Amino acid sequence: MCLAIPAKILSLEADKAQVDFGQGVSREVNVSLVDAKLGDYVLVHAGYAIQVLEEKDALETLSLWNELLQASQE
Amino acid sequence: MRVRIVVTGIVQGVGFRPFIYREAVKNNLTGYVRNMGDAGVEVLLDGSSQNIDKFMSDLNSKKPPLAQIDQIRRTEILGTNGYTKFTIYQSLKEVENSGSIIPPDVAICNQCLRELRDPKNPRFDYFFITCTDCGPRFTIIEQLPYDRENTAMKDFPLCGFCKKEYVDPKNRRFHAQTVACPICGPKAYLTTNKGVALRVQDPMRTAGKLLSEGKILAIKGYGGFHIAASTTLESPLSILRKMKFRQEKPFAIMARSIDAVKMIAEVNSKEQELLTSPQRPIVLLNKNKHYNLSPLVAPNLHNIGVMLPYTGLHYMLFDQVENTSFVMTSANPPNQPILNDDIESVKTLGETVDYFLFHNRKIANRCDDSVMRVHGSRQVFLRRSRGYSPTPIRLKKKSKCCVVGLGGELNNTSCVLLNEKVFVSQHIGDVENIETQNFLQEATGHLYRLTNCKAEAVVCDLHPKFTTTTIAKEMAQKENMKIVQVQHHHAHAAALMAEHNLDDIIAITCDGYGYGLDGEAWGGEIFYSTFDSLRFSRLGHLEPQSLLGGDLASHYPLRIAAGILNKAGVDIEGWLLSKSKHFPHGVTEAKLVANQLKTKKGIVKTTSCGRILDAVAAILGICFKRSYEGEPAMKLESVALSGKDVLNLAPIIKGGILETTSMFRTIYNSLNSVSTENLANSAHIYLAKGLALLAIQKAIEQGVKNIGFTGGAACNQILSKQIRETVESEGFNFYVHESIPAGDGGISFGQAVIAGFSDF
Amino acid sequence: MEQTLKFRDPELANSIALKIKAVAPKQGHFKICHVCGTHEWTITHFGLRSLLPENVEVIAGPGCPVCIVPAAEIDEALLLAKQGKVITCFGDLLRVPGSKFSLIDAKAAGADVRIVYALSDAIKMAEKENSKDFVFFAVGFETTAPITAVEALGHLPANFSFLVSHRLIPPAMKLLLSVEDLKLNGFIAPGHVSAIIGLKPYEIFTKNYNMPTVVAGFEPIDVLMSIYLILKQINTGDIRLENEYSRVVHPEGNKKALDLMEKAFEVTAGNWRGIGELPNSALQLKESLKEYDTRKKYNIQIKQGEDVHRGCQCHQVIVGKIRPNQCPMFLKSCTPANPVGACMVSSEGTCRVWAKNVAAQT
Repeated sequence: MCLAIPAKILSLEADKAQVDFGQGVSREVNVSLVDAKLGDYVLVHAGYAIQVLEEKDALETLSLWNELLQASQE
Repeated sequence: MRVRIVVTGIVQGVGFRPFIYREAVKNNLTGYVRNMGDAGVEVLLDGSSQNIDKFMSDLNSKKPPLAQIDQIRRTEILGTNGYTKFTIYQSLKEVENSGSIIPPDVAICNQCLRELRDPKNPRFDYFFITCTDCGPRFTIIEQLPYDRENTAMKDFPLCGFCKKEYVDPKNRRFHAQTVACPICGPKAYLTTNKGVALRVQDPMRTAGKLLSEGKILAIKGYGGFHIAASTTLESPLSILRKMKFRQEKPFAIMARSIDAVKMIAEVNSKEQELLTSPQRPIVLLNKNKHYNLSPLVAPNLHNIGVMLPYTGLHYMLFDQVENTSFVMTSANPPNQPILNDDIESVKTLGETVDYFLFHNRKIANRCDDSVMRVHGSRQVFLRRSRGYSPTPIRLKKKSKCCVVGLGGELNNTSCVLLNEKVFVSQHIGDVENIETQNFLQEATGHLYRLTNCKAEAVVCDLHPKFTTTTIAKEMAQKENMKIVQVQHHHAHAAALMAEHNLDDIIAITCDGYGYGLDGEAWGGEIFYSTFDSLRFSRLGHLEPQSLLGGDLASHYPLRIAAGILNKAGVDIEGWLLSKSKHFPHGVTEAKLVANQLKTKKGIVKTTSCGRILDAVAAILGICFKRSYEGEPAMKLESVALSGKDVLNLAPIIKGGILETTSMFRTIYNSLNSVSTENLANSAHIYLAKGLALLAIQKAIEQGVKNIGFTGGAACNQILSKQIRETVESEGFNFYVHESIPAGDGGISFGQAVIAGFSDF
Repeated sequence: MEQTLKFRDPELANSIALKIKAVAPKQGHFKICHVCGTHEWTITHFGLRSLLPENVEVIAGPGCPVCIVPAAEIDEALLLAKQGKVITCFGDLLRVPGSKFSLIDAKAAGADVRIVYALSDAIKMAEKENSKDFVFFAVGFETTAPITAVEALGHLPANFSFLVSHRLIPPAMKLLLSVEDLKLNGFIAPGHVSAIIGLKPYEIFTKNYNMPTVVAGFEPIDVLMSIYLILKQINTGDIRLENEYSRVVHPEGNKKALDLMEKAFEVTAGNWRGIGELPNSALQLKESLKEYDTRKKYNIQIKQGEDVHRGCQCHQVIVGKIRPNQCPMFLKSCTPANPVGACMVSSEGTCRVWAKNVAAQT
């Protein structure tokens, strides 16, 4: 089950967080597998956060894609 | 040439006038169409005779899906003032008000469903998309005539776009009172269980996702609220079972498509027809071998109630989830009518549910879903409500006066008989508490207003203590009406006759309980009844058996079993003690029951068929506690369906009485040698054959050709099939209900026809 | 923030498709293999195969953790169910056939088998119903295993245990390289497994097998990008390990998760349904956690089961030897409503993904 969805942390207490998947409804997620803080985006799989998503990484992807598309412009 | 046509049938609120308009214009005819209320629809056509003939043939073949044409009267008329075009004339107010047919709610049609899914359509993703052929009707009509201002849609003034469609005869929303769009129509929103709105982009699809994650939601539909939950996850279902005080009563489910239904249940062609019909009832289907829903959905039963989505909102719930079905049960506190008020629902349901999916349109009339099953290829009503009510049942004769029937006490409906039409209300429920009583009066009053009738008589049950009896007496006094009291099973028999236009009948009437003429508890009766009489003859019945502890016995069927087995010569004290763990008060209670048998003091007797089935269920260990209406008998039927009649007992009939004690003796003695399924089946067959033979005997004596089976037990497939076989093999006509419930939902109908056609 | 990346932009997709056509070698046939059911879903759903040149093929490997659970382990669960234990699992597992029966047959026969949405739900049930024995059938690859680990090392009630059936992906990828006739030319590595394990485990493929390997995300642009990157590597001859999913996958993976897995599990040989035994490919709870290991707690071990049922071709599908529509039963006697093999049962199974996206396959 590779399906994992990004969500924003709205509140945090010990290893449980309330997150929003962009629908406006908050759900509870276990964050003991990551080091996350309030406002972070996390990747959630089967009720557990498995990775924190950084804005800078997202931007890097953009530049990677652009670079790849620019390169081999014969 | 000029002709005047009058069309009668179901021709109001079904898009008939726009249809006539389009056909006339298409065929180059001028003239007008006008709604004449009870008298039907009048059409005047002016044009060439070929075009008029073409119009006439299209009238029959191309009529709107919901219209039903009973009669077309055509007369040629003279006249020279030419009509320059074809017009829809305004309906006259008085005309609109006289007993016109109020349309029932109609499930979303395929065309609207396509538009819902079409990204280029202005109503793409609009959850309450409707047209002239579909949408809420009865549940939003506050008063007649059926115009937008008289419905709950009055709170949603049309935007320019909708208005344009509404007045354009060529548009499929011409004159569609429920037309709406995302801009001007009702909105949906998701809230917490305290009623606080959540800022959600897509409330319907989010609701679906929440359900798939195990949350419990209250969802507002057309006629009230449903409680919804996953059908496979354990947690929400066990919470629901605790909260709703319904440990065992089955939940109905809503499946995403007919294919999804077929994945878990057997569906024959009649069942498929009902499931996909504009009425969209819940249909009880047999679980198939791939059934994989949680056992908490429909515990210990061989069947499950399934319906398909009936609005865009319900379809959209399934869009972003894998789930093939959700529990969709009516959201009412035990034995109270379905909720329709938003604030009330937060108060009542806030503890049970996690979220609410509301919409902001008022519900004018509460209306539960209808429930049906199919015996062979015949439809059987367990509950006649959304989609059917208040479409009248049409009798073949006109009644002598206008009558209102209040029904009995359980699973009740009320009705109004006006001329040859009986308008039966939606499902009301058990009229024991004040909320349901209010609902009964509300629903009955509504029928009054909608039919604009002046009832001369009110009919109720013979039972002196029924709430409906009290209400009837009050009504009779206040409105200066006559009051007629009708015996419970007589009402069932009369209903059967009226449905099939019979003059006489030998009716096998079986249920749990009905107040007998002598105050006794009846329930397994053979009546002779004629159509226009207040009188009936009780020609036969089941052997009276003891009800130890009165009402307690109907909740704890071991008590009935004890009385019967005692009569059969079994050592009852020993047996009761061995079963003491199934009594709420254990050994003490078992001893008390045994004692009562010894002293024989104050024991009530009953001829009820329902109680016999309950007792068999208890002896076979299938059910010891009746936590919902019909539970032991339904579970017994489920078990019996996989068994065979191995006992093959010959029915013992003496002096008009079908004996049952010996059957119980045989069952008891065979407990260790015959399987439970076979014993269960044998008991059913014994009863069915016995009742059928007794009825045949009486039919021969009375010279009657018609035998019928009615009462709640007629919903039992095994009994119904066997009785039919036996009766028909002897050359008699056999009748069962097809238009109204065989159970107590049909009592008001029977009451009304008795009063309406006899002299009292 | 994710909104600024146009993951499904058709124009972008088309320009990548053009680049793919330009960079793919004109001679030869190229097979790129992925090992993730969700990748197959993206590829099938968005019809990505139709954007590729004729001589480039993307095949699906054993990317479905439910599909590779051996029948013997289903049989273990059935045995436990028969003994009156409460079996909890995710929905997919219910209809996977064991040697003779599936969990849903057991349920129909009265066993207490319950579907849960999350592991935490199962634990809550066990805490509540403390007179019953609860078993959680822990299935999944490295994305899911840390969840089992964190709970196994946490506070578990005494009546709870794990029937562990976790597998590791890199050994399966290694196996594919040795399958006769398969002749792969590149790997699309799974995105979320990599979020946990990082990039290191894939180094052997580039170093020892000269196999282009790109870690990809799950949006259509991600997948197309990685195909492009693989073909570019083949074209230039510069074979290396690349990370297309850098917004989620860090080279070191999720250290916290890896540490927990290290603490909780031992790596053992693993039996893969339809494939057989692969060394170092399965996880087992450490001796110190034996009271939560279902097999040790109840002394159960079924070694042999009947994995392949008559006519079923799942064992060919999961190693990419045939496509679902090359199985004679596909959509005839084996459908999502009436599945025969595991590949049609699980939502990540290749056959089920194809069946549900039939329109996209022609």
